[in-house]
Amino acid sequence: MKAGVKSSGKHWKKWINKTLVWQVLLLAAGVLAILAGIYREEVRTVLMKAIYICLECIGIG
Amino acid sequence: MAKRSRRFRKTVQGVWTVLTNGYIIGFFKGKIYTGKLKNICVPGLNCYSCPGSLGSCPIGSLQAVLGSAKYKFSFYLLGFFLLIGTLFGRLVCGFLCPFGLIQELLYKIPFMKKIRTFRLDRPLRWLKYVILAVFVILLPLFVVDAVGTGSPWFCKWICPAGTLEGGIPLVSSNPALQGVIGFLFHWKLAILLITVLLSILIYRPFCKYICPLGAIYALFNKISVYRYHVDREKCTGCGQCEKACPMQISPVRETNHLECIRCGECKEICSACAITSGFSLGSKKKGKES
Repeated sequence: MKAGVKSSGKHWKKWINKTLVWQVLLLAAGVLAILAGIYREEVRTVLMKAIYICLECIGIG
Repeated sequence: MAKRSRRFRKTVQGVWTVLTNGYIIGFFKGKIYTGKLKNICVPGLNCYSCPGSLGSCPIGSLQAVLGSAKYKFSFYLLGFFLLIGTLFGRLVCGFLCPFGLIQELLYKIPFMKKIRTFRLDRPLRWLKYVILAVFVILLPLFVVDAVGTGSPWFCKWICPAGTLEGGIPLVSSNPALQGVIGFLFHWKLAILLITVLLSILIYRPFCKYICPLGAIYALFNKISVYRYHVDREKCTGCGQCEKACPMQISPVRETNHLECIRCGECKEICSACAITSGFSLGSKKKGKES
């Protein structure tokens, strides 16, 4: 019984660490990727698409 | 209590929709906002050709970058999805999506018997991932014209949000656009009409079966910082949460399921207070399952 509790505790700890590691990694990767996108001037493409009426989006073009 | 929480969510949805579509003058002039705020994407599905829109639609932007001759990969959008998805998961669908709000309001219309589930309900939920892969990524990337530019296939052939938020207001207030209406406009109008009718019968049908943005955020639901927790010791197994869930999942057996939009209905119905939610790095205390 004790061994079972111990092993489930260990499993739990492992799971917490895994989730935390994933969260931190993905958040860091997200920030870095956004910065890379800004550096590559992708934002300009987004802006250029967004400030003119998108004819395809509204069903014209 | 349940009513207060529901009202809070509706207030957030309403305020967010108004804030991100606050360029009121655009509706009267039949023009769209052209300022620098459109460098930034809003988290929900919100057409950037909506006259009031102050930000960019992330799905439209992704197709624009993938379909451009200059880029064939978007770090900016990847980063945006990683950041928003990891922080919120599908909380965005439940709280920050104007098109989600519109569908919820339509579902409130009392009309015949509402359809909670049907035979193909579960398999059809996978359709949004196919739409994401084919219409949002592959077709804009590979079906290109002579100069290497691809079309926004999802926006062009499927998205009813663009017709409702952009097409109808712009065409009705801009005589120049009225003269160039053709097959595509009628096709998109038909899709919008079907979506509206289905939304009266089924809770958020577009979000369940079609939305590629929901499909992206769903991938983060299991590990997002904002998450649901079920205290197994408190849970009495009454099944009330499962009955209350408008997305037809079991919050106890399938906590933080891909389809969970964090609407909070399960939390509110739980008389044992076994379901909680919040922002937590890693996970909550031992004894609770996430």
